[in-house]
Amino acid sequence: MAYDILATSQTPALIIYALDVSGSMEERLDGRTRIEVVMDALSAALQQIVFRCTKGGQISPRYRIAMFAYSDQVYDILNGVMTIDQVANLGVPELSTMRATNTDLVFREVERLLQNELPHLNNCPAPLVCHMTDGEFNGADPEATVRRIMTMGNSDGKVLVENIFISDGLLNERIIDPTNWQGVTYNTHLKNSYANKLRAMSSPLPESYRIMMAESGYNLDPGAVMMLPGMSPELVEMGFVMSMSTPVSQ
Amino acid sequence: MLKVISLDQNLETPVSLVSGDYFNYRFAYARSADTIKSDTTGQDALTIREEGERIAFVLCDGVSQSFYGNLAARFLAEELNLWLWENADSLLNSNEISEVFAGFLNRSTENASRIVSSQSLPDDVAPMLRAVLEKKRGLGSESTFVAGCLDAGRRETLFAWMGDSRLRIWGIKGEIDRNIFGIDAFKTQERWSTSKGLVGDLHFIKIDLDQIHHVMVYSDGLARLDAKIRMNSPSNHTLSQIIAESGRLAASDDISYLEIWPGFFPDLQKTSPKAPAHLRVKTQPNNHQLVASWNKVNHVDEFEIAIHHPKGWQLFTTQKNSWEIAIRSLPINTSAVSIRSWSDENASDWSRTQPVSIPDPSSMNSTIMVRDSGLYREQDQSIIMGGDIYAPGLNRPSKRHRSWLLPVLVLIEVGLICLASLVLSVGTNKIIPADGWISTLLPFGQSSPVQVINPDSHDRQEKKFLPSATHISIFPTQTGTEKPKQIDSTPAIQVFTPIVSPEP
Repeated sequence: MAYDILATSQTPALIIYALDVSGSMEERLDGRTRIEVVMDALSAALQQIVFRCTKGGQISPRYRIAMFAYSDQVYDILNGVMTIDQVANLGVPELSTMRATNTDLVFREVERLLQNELPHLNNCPAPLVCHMTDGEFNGADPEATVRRIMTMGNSDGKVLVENIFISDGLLNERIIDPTNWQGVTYNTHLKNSYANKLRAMSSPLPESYRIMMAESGYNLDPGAVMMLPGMSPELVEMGFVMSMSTPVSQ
Repeated sequence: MLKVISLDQNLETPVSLVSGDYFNYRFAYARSADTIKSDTTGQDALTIREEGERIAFVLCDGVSQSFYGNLAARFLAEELNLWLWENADSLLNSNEISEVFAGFLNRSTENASRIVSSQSLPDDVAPMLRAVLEKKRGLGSESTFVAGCLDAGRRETLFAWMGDSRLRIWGIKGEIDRNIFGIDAFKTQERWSTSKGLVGDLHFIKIDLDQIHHVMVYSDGLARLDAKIRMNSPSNHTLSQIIAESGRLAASDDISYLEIWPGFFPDLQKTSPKAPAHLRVKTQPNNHQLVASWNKVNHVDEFEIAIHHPKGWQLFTTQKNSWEIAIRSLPINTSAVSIRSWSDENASDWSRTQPVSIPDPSSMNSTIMVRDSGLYREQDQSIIMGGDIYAPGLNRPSKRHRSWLLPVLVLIEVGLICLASLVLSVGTNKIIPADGWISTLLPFGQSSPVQVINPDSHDRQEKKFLPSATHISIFPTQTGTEKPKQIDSTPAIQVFTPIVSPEP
């Protein structure tokens, strides 16, 4: 089965976060700014990764993290790729909002990073790119770049691309309890054309990830895709949980 | 005399044999590679009590994602073992073993929780890790276990377990546990918790001792034994090898092992098969394969190949006396290969290690990504013309590759110049727009060289050649008044700033 290589200290999993810090991230979502919701969810996700990697009082470097924040420029928050124990020592970065949303620029940077990394990731879990945005891109259309990224991969499978789209009213119904929600499939009606585009730029959810998410309490359908409508802080948090659902040894 | 053996979680215990009053047994313990490296406590635990015609054991595997899984493992190994020893008769007489067992395990959470509460954290723990550890403390410490009591006087045995540590039982004719409790009886999700007690189902079974030839119990760190050992007890040599090399594998985990024989001692010094001789390893650059071959060995069930790399080993098997693998599938910086034979579930020594030289994985790619008019496209590396190649994130081809490229590049340049002279018989430059690049065909004999500038980044230090056989793409300077400036001194191609702008 693809996507079944365990994340270990010898074969760590690579997660690349691409976070939109455009001006619209100052808008409110359930009483807080969108950027605050994202930073809280990211902090919770990093803590959860540390949780999964800790044995006794030691963090085993089972994950490697890269983090880009982008508006009209791209900022490499961690200055390259860091192991999770290094990220834990650093703490969660603070991000402030800027201006535009040059999505293609950040994905080209992600592509460049993956080209550097993939030759060294034989026998490791397939890398995952977790993109969070709240609005349509400015500048070049990122879809071609993302599609190229989705053709890259290693022995475990193609690079996984996940999109968290923070916006209101994407679905016909409101999701009150994410743990009972089946997820977005290719047939789900999305009320926003950019959401449809992001779904086309999202990978199918691997079965091993779906099983790991079930252990975190989320019951997604087998046909779900790696796209989350960030209509509430709980769904944003679910998106970040999805990003770290690589199989690990218990 | 009562023997109580409680293995130290901070040390490796080599395969050790004990000849008891009735039962004979051997055990071993090894921490995972990460745990040894950080010199911390292993999360497996094993306690054995043995006297006269009775032996009781508890083997535990602490859940690493719980709070200091070693605490639950150690507590349970000792407390459950003592309780089992003291209550063996009543348990063996009881028809309500499950309730009695569960009652003890749930009551034990009170004492265990005190141990968890009093566990101190290192002073230098980072805030994020401290927050995670305190969250884990609130959830408790957890462990799987396999417990057993064998009584030769009563000719009865009792086993209980939760989790995925293995309990394997052999009769005279072979392994019998799967027939008794199936293959799904060991579930990772089931465990004992210091805060919750039983998490999942408690399993138990009683078997007449006369049905048992021997019993083998081990934590999932030794999961390789599942497939390797089916019929016999492994020799001490084989068992020691498997334990030692488990620490070199990617999924290295703590290991605890116990094997019990009632009333006899098997031959554990079995003759090992011959190690394969004359290992030959070579790389085939044409099809990017690593090929290993060795002399035949008689009466061998399979061969095992170890690929050595800086982080450990990767193991493969074959039944032939040769083996090949795509170089691209090998771990980064693979340095050596060794092999051994397996016969009748016993392993030979490893062969002499054969060093290998694996090229840089980026240079083994048959294509690289090159920028062309702001877009990436794949390009067959074998016909790149040389000079600096703009392939973001990829290393330059090694000099070893350049040594055979040079004559090819010279031939291609000569071909280009000849072709250009045929096309431009009037001796003027022609501009052929090509997706953002302005192309110029150099007329034969013209001495004004050009500088290549990337149109996306406008970085004039970058030089770019599209390896087409029909044209070289360039982007000329704006003014055309700059003097020629040597940028690149690669013998095959000289690159300079143009002194005139090309005509439209």
